[in-house]
Amino acid sequence: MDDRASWHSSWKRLALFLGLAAMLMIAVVAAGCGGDDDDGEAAPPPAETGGGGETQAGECSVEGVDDDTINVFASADVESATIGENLSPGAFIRMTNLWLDQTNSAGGILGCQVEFVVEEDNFDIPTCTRLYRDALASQKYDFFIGPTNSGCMAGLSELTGAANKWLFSGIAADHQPFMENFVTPYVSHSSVSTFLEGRTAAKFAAEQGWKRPALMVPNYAYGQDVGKGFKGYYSQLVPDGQVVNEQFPEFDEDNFTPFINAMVGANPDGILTAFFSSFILPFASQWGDSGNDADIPVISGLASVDAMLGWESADAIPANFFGYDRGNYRLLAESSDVGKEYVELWEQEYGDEYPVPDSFTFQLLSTWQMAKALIEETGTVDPEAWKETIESGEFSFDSPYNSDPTFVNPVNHMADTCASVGEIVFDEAQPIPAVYDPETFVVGCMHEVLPMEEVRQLTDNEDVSDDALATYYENAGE
Amino acid sequence: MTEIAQQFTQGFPGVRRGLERVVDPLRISPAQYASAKPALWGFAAAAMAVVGLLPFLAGPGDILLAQQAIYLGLLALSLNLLVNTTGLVSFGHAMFYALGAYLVAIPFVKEVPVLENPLFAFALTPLMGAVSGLVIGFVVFRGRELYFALLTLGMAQLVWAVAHGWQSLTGGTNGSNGVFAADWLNPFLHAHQLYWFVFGIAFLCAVILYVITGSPFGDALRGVRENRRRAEFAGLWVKRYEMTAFVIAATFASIAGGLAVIGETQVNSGQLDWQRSALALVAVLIGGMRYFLGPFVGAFFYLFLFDWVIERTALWDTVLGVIVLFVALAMPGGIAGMIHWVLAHATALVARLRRAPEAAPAEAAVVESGFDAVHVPDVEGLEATAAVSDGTGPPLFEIKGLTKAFGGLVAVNDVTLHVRTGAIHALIGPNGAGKTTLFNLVTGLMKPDAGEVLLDGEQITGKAPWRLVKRGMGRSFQQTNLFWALSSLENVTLAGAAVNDATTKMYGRHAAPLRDKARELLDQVGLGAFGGTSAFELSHGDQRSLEIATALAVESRLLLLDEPTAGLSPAETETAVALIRKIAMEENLTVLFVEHDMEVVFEIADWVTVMHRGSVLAEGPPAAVRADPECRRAYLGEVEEEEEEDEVAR
Amino acid sequence: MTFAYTLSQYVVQIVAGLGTGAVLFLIASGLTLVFGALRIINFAHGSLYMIGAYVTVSLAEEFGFGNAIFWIVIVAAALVVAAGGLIMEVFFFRPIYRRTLLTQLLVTFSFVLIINGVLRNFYGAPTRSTDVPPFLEGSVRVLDGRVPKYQFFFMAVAVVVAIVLWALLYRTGLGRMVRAAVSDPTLLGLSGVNVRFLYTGVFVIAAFFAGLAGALTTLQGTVSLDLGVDAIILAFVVVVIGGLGSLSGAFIAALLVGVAQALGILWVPQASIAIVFAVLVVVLAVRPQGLRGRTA
Repeated sequence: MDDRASWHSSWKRLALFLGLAAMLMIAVVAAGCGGDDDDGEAAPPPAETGGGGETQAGECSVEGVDDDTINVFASADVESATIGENLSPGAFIRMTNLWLDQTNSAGGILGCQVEFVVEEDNFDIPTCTRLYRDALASQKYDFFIGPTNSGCMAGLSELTGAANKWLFSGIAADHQPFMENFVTPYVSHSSVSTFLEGRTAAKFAAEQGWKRPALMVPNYAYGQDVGKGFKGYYSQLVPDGQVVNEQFPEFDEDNFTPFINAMVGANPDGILTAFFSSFILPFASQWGDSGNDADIPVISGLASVDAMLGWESADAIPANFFGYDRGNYRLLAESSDVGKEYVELWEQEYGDEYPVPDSFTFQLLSTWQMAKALIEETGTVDPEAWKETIESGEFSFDSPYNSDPTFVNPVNHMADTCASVGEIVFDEAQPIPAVYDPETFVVGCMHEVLPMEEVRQLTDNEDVSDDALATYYENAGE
Repeated sequence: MTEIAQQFTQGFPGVRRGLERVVDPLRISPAQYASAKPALWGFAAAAMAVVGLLPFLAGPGDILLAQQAIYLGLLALSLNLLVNTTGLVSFGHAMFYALGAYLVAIPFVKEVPVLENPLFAFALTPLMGAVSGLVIGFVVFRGRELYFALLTLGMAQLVWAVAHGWQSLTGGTNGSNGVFAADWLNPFLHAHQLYWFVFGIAFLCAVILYVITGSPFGDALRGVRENRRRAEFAGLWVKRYEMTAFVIAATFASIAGGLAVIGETQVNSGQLDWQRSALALVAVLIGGMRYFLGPFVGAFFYLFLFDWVIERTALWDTVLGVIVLFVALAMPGGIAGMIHWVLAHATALVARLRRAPEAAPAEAAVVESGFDAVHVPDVEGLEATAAVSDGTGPPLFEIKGLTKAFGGLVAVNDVTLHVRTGAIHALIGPNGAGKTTLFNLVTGLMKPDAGEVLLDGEQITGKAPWRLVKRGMGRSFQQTNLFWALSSLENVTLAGAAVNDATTKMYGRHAAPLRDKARELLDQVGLGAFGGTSAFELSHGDQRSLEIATALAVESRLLLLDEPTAGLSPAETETAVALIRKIAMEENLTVLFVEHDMEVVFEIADWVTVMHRGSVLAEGPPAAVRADPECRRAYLGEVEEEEEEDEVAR
Repeated sequence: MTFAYTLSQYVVQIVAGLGTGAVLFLIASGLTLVFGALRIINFAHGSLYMIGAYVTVSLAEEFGFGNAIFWIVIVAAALVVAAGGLIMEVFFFRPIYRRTLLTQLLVTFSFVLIINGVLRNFYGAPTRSTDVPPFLEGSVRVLDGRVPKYQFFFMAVAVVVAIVLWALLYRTGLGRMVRAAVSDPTLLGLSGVNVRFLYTGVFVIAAFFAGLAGALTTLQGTVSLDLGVDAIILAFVVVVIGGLGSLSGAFIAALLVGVAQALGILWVPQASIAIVFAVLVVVLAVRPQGLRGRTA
């Protein structure tokens, strides 16, 4: 079975082989492909302008939609629920189902039913990317919602943009497509972004009078983004303040003692971290053990329901322990009709098993609301039309976050949503005892934490006039 | 496969017999494997055509997957140059992939002038690979074998850790995204063109690697893999060849990385850690490392299997693990090996069906060199005549005052020895006298503490073996040292090529004169009919002869033979002796040999040096030494008695 | 890069590093013995550690983690892993002892995959955690800082295990055979030792300690499916720096790596992982056989 004899370079054999392969290829290429535009692929069904054309009374009238159905795609790690059961796609798929039921039974959007396809990506970036590329290439979907995996989301907007499809960042909350490489115009952010979280944390820090904050943000996309958001705004709010130490643990780090020790050594008067879900727990317990919690307040990160479930007694929670929340259900039920409606629906449907809808469920709810508003406003799924509408500066929709209509920043396409930073306390009266204390919430909204003067520094969008931008700020500010 | 079955059925003879009855018909003889070669080539061509034509045959998902398999396959192919051809296992090969990828991605994202054109940056990835291969090679080659592998792992992790931590440059886990190489390579507008670009580049790289692997340079690498020591003594500067292989492998790995960025439009540090190196290695092994295209087979198999399994079961990694386990245990030839096996069966079946005259041509060509056979060159013309020289010519080889101590033990103590040109000079002495140490000292395997060694007047003290070989010194070893898996002809050809630096040629075949000379040498030692037999298949006596042939191939003027008759039967000894004398006479060689067999010594030596406890005890013509009382006391006592007995018996 | 820390901070940092190192030693000790005696590289060693952690989570959920139960639980978890190791060795490793390095690699790597899948299905992907038993709650004051109690516990356990293993190696017949195996495996078989029994024994012991390390690691944080692969790389680094087959080397190297990482966090926070690998490369480049290994 030795290969040596055959692998001795024999020019003749090699030439023969190459010739054979080449001939085969040429033959098939010659026989098959005609024009080179479609690369020999089966021609996609022609996009009908005037949509599911047959005008029957009350039927689907959205332009560009086939089969009377608006098809939407996202990939997520539903099965593996890597980032926590309550935070996982399972959770916001539940909320989505509520919304889809409501919407579809009321006749859909402009008469078109809505269908949402989610494929399992196992939190694996290459798989996620491939699923989206497949979906884009299949030409079956009208618009896209981003994945749970931040790493995958980071590069996704370029792909969807190249394929001329709209992408909502609803689940993974990264802001890069909006802030750093605004290469593709067909994106929007309809929920709470890491940018907003970081900036709201900075607002909190400023209000608390922190002058020497330290940062311990995990060496991972999400963490890094929150850190940047914080630093960018904090330096504006507290010009004489200074970040005294920065640490970069791995995102599943277990042993925080060295990091805590290093940070505390720089004498900070407040600490920002950016863990999420149950990954907060080891940090919390080690921070509490270190005894520093009495003196130094900590914004611990995104303490979602999975984290809350991990604190089973009051002493488990360190003192002066805060977290940011992307949509506290108690707050939202009070602040908006949409919020109230869906919190009630959730309690009816899922209340036994999941008494607390996590903030992530509202992310996608807000996304659906924005999509619906865009379709209703423009009558089409054409991304260019959506872009124009948003960039007029006057577009708004009903998100769960505000009682008033939520406006969208025309330059960076980010909705004026709000995040809050609050203290984590133990309240036996609540379905899950560890909760945010709503009295302590410091709320930050996009129109506030991102001042008009700064917008264009962060995002380059020449298609928007200064007037449109000003209009947005006027509307949002009210 | 049968090994495993045997192990599991150790206590159950009945089961084993049953198993054997099932398994035996499934066995394929080497001849049948060989005759399946054309079928294998045909299969490979067809497979390549399918892959190349995939855009016409499959949907976009599969095309993307195939693209990903191509990058992995190219990475694995470059790794195989190290693993299979050179015998170097690298655990960190993905570091070069990473460097190539970042070279294409970072300048684009950072808008570095000139390099921001991804295609231009891509064109520079070979340079990146080569340079980083050189730099990293200097570090990792400080270790041998396992430590080499672990050093590669360490370096790769270091590269990864830097990429991961240096967020402002690489984007860390977020990575660098949106790297579109060109409009005509846009993954959406021109997905097929992008695929063909990827395929075309990979194909080109594979062809180049194929040529390199099959060239005399590749032969040299295989020699290094088979027997590093013998390679040194064939005149190969082994370290340099290994480094070159490493650099070439790194070059192609970087190309693979750059290609991946162009195809995927993004790169992030999470994809470049040790798991990618491991994946490349898995692809090599599963595909079948002994087959050139094995790595590609492995990459395709693994990725498609992964994709298939992950959709169907939540236990996907377990299923994958079981399959990998099965392939590892039961299929040493990998998937490619299995394909070969199937094709061999098919060809045999076809042959049987066509009732081709059972010439069993391949079988006939394999003349018996079993472990029992001995092949005798024409000895008759070699009967002992007077020695060529009486040892009074000028000295070719001089050892002056050589000393070597190991701790408190002085193994070689101020030894001075002159070997005259054309002499057959024996070095004898009891065990522990320091003979082998002396040999090791003068052939560059050890550095002496004091003294000097001169070859034809030139200082060669402490020089590396390959340099000595180039200056005309050949050596054989006490324990046969050959390129085991290579055939006899290849052994000799390689030796001849190496010493003339013909192994630096990275394409084509050995020059015809070289091959002819090799055949001649084989004939000379009586192995003319066994050119195609692997070295390890030869009988012990034949192996010794082959070793002498390789020693001759390096065109030495001086042959150092370390116990050339060790382990040989009396018949074989006669042959060996005759051979040595014949060669010495015909080629006008000078021979210095260590021997224990006194009969041999007295038969052919014309000068004898006796060593005892590290020093030279006596020297002179055989008769004189035999008569020397001290020598007899130290060493020759028994022989003297034997001689007397023999004389009495006659 | 900053060096402006007080003595107290340095001390606390080093203590924390020793704690990390202690756990690393527990994992690496088994790995180095397996390599030294059996001459195989067991990639699945980190997975054994992970099984120990998950089993502990299960047992702790069932029986709680009170002071007395704690000891039973961690020993039980270690025994479960030892049993698993027994099965692995007898059925899957024996056939590969005489195979090439690469085959061994592939086989042990396949186990990483297999174990990962099984654990994911049993326990799910989200992280799990346990409480800390009462006697290990809280922290100990070290100069001006505080170090969690369990870090000291780790160190104590590591020292005890080191002593036990040392005694095993140098004071028992089995140990003598193991040392013989480390220095010359071929001779071992020829001297009438039941090599199969010896190999299995070493493997099971190694698995036991890996399981114990996994059980202990639940004290400090969350248990996730990444535990195995994260651990194996660091374990390899430790084993290689210490010298393959050397127990004392593993001990020294583990502490060295733990402290190096901790100091890296102080001095170059963004590059603390890189520091560990830099140490590896430097040690290997200068002394390829590791600190206490034999010359290759």
